[in-house]
Amino acid sequence: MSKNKVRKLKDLFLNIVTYLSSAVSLVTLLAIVIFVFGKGYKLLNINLVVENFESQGYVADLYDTGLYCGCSPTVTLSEEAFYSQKWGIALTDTTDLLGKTVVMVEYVHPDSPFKTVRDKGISGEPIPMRTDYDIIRIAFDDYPTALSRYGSEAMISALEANDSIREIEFETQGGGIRGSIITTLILIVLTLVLALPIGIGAAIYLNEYASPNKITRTLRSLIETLTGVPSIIYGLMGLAIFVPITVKLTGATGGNLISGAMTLAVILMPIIIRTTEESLKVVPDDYRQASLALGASKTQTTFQVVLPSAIPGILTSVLLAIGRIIGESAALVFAIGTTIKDDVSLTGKSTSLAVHIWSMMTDEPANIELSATIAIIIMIIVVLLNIFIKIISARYMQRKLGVSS
Amino acid sequence: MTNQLQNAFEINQLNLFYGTKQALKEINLNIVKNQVTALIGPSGCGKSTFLRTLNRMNDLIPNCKVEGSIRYHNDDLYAQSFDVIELRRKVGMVFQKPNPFPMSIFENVAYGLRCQGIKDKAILQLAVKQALIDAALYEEVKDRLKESALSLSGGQQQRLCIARAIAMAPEVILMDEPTSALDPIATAKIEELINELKKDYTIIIVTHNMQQALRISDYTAFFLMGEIMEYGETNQIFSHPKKAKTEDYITGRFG
Amino acid sequence: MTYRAQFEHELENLKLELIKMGDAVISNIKDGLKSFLTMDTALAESTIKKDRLVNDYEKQIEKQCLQIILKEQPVAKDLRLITAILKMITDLERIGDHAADISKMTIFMQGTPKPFVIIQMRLMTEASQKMIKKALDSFVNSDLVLAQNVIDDDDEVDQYFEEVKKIVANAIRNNEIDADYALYMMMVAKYLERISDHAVNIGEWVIFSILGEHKHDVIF
Repeated sequence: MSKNKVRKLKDLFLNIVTYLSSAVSLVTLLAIVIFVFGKGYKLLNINLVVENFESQGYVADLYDTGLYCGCSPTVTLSEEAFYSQKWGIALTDTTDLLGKTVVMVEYVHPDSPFKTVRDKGISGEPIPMRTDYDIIRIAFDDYPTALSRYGSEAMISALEANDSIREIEFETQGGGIRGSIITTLILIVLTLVLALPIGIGAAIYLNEYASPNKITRTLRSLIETLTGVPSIIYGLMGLAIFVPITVKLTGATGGNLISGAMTLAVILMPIIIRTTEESLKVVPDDYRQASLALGASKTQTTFQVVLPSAIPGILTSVLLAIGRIIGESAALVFAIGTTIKDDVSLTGKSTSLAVHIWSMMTDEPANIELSATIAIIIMIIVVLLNIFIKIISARYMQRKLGVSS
Repeated sequence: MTNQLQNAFEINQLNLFYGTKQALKEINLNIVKNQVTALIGPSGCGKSTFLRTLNRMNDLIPNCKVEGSIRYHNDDLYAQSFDVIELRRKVGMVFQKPNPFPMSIFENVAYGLRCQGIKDKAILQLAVKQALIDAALYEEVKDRLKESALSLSGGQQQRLCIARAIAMAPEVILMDEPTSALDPIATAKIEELINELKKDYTIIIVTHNMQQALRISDYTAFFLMGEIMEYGETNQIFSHPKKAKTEDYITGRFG
Repeated sequence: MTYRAQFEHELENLKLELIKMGDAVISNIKDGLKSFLTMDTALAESTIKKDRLVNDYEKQIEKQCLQIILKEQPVAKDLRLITAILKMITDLERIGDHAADISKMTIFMQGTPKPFVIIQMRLMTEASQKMIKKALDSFVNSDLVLAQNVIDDDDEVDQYFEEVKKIVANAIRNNEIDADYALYMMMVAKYLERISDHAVNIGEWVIFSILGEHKHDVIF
């Protein structure tokens, strides 16, 4: 029976196509993940998340001169560390958070004169020497300055060869993305606070209250079209409209968090309206009928029966929104600016993680490793948020439906 | 005997249009109080539409126009000043497919009362318990009132919907083919329930099942193409209908 | 347009069976009396055997009616029809029994002196046959007037019966008739009178199937 055979061949072909496409998608996804992890793993460091971006440079000299240590380290030092018995300090060659090789202070003995140094600048304040500071140079009275370029071993031998130190130039660790992480999180909250009520409200109106006439249909098409507009256009709009507004109304001097959030809210609104409408549509009409037949008003029906049933779908749209917010770079370049800041304020300049990556990549040379590391952190944040929202959703459903059957 | 029976509804010259299409023609009918009235007729003949005029659920359908009058307690349902919300509390409805809310059993039954503004826990608990007892469901669910209503069987869900309607202390209960989605045992339970409820409520039921109409109803109205072909006591309609078309329908010769 | 062709078909079949039963019964009456008047014992025996057929008909039709009630849960005219048929077959079966009884009389009467012809007996037979035929026709045609006629016809048969009684009584008084024969005659006459009463019953059930009233008592 040839017809049967043809049919079987067709089935086989379609099956192969399906499996093949899935395999290709899987491989592509894996490739991306592997690339990002591969490149970024080296720089993955908890400090990246908590440290400031800006490194603070100091020029200092020793607080108490003439004090030597002559002590042995109280902890085990790493293999690559070089220790100065005289001064009680251990230095090591390492890469900083940005990937540069630096000389880092690995250990300071409690009795070391290096324990506290004095800022040679205006403040003259004592600065405790911390173990992750990078030494840039140590200048001596009549000895060539030890530069970090020559490595920690050279610096330690220079220290050993000298009895007095003229000045020490060092800087705090920088390159931390803490500021950008905080900005991103604030952006998420602010954008959702702006976009969710308006979006959900509009969706409720369109789906529950509006009569199905031409106007409503046109409105819906418009909203659908908006979801397809490239976000950089929204960025331009943000630059042209929201930034001036916020500058006028607050003390901002340019792109800021509020204008960024407003721009993102505008980008997200059509998406939220669409997904919420879909969730509302899926709520069976039976519920509305039953509620109205019991003498509930339309408003009561909408807010006590329809909306709660649509919450899982709305939470999904929230997830989508968060993903979009975190990933949105082009629009934010204009609407919030590209300044990486450590102390974040609503009206001050700062930027989100995605733009941070963009910033790193447009540096000379492009810092692919760090970008990949930040990408890993972004993925971790997204996964955590996903899990968090899924837990909330599950708890909500459990509570609403009573003990699950 | 008839003069002692009161009318729950008095329908006069009722005409209903969906846009230009006329769904109900010149309906004149009196629904007797505290009796079960069955509405029978072929599909699309207007019986469900008619049922929905009694609690103004037809208002939800766009382009629906109603002419004529339906008097309930001597008030015209379709007058401008008539309070629809209040009407729907007094005239409850049970649908063909059981449609409990995705909430706990307790919350389902309490829903209508909450919408009315009743918040007192004690009152709600009492009302819910009584409604479930009256709907012959309490014994089966008394230990799991906080569980989801969706975990109940089809027959139980339908009784829950009845309890939900009864909790509002209505005077009339409208039922649109309430047992057509249920198995014979669930059907029997609900028919028995209707027999009990009839003492306190006026019940109007749309049904496709001739035997069901015979078993539980006191009066029957036969609808055909939007008109009432015949109305009378159930026994008479089914043993010796006056109109040939009625007989043709109930003997299944046409429909 | 009927959606119940199958059901209609079954009802038609039922009616047909009823007619066949009626025809069988009518022929048995004729043969029964003939065997009595001609003292034909062979005919008598065959008539008694044929009554079994009539009983079979009753059982068969009864079964079919109950099946229909179970399956179709009939209402209105269908219900009246089935109910009427159930009742009519009982009367027809009784008629069949009486026809067999008449044949039995023939056998018992073997050896009694030559029959004494009473013309009314033949007239009663013909009349009762006609009544049964009329009743069944009125059933088939749903003819209310015809059914009423059957009920009225009973008067004629009753009258014949009275005349037979008088004749036989006189003959006994005048010693013109053998005593046994006289008694058998009366029994046959009585059977014939009962047969027409049953025919009247059939007519009344026909009226019920049309109007829903039985003997002026409204059931439906």
